Amino acid sequence: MSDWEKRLTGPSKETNQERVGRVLTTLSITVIGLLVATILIFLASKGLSLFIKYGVNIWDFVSGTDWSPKKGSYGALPMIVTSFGVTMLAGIVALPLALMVALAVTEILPPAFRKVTQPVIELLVGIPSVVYGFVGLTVIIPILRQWFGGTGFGMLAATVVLFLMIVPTMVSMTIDTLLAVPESYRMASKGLGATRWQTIYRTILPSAAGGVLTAMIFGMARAFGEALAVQMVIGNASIMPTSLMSSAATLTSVLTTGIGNTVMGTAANDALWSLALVLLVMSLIFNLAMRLVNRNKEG
Amino acid sequence: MEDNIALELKDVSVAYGAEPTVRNVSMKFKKNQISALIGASGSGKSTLLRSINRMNDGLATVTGQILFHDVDINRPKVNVYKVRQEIGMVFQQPTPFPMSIYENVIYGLRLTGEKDRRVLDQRVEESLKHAALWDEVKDRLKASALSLSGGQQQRLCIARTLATKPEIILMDEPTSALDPISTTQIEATMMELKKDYTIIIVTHNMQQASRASDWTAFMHQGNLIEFNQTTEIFMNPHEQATNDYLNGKFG
Repeated sequence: MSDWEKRLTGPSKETNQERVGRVLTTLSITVIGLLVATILIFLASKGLSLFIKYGVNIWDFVSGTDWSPKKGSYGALPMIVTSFGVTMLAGIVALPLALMVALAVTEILPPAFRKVTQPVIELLVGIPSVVYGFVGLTVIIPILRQWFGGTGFGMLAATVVLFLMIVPTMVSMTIDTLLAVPESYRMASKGLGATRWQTIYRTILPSAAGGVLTAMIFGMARAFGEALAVQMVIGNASIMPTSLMSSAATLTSVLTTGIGNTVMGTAANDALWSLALVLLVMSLIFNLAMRLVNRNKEG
Repeated sequence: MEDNIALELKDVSVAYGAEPTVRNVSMKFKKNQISALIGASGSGKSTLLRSINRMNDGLATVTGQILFHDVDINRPKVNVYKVRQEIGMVFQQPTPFPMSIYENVIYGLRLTGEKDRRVLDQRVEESLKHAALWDEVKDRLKASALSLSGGQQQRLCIARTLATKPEIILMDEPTSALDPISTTQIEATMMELKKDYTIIIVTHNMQQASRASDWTAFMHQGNLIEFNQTTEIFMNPHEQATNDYLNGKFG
């Protein structure tokens, strides 16, 4: 082998680096893939055993309204309805507020203001959910009790807590989306005689619509999966809610309260796994919705 | 104001901070003529241009008078949105909105609340013809403006500015991001447009000023050094600084 042959084709620091890098990244992605697969398989086998082993009808499970696992009655509809109810309400109320705050920060207030607000908002995103639950317990519930009577625990309290929890996330994401709108759109619109409001609703919002929707779905996905804060304020009665002030239970709150009180391998325990499976499926749907929205934006 | 004057600047100064970027500029722009502002980077020519239709509002302090139809438009009371429809602007980079070609052209009309389809259709055709883009896009008006080439996008931006029927068009280095062929097309378009509009153009490109403009103003370090007929400026500059700049001694 000639010197040049060795120099140009032999192993070197560069090729070794490339090889090591590829091995490390492949290994990491394999670990993540296995993790996801394990969760899916485990949750599916546990979640489906209620229907397979104990012969509970799936339709009865998703449409039944009586949840008394100890008596062999597994109607999960109240929890499904409550989970969706509080998530939708929190999301719908949070969207306009988050949008307004984000517009104020990016389009209206001076840039110096953004330098202060953005870190504050990001700080709020990082607050543990138990703190939000605690605030709900000590501040919101007494207020609701005073205004509407009753115990104060219930869907409305959960909605308010979730709303407080997801607004910072949604504001933060919406700000990023609005900042990504090219400055040239604003300039051109202004140059054509548009007022700031006209520029916002004719140019900025349409080009940011996908991102704003993603922010909303992201916030709602967070609300849907939140267990602790909700459990602290919702009253935990696995019944079909009749009003915003009635105690109820979400999929997650039933899981956290129930998982310690049932014995592994019993039907009552497997029923909880079935609820977890419903949660997982819903999260996947949220995820998919987010991807669809973003694909439309690109197309 | 004399009949053949479209716009007059009186003692206009512009400051971003304490130090003015443009100092006491007074000049008159003739109707249906192309006037070019030339000068080195930082000479204040773009700053001055942007002050004319109040694009510097909130960014810089503009003092002095800007007379348009005998009205000083550099006053707080003036409706800046109306001003910008009368004095349109074309930017350095093509800035089409992410909408259809059609929607881009009528953007300014939509702002005024124009809804009549016939008016809109007619204005789209008229504006695109004026900007020499009609033949290339008439069959795909519903296509995204972003699908056009850079030169086409810039002509679309010109059409969009024309659609609000301005009297004056300000162009801020409109060809500096374009290839030579597109540049030639834009210059030809400008020649056509001056029949109906007054054009003020900022350019880095001295050949462009000498080819396309009737009047040339040379700015240096925020001051207006010389403003005269283009042939006069290029053949027989009266000031030493103008001569030095044209001969590439600085820039």
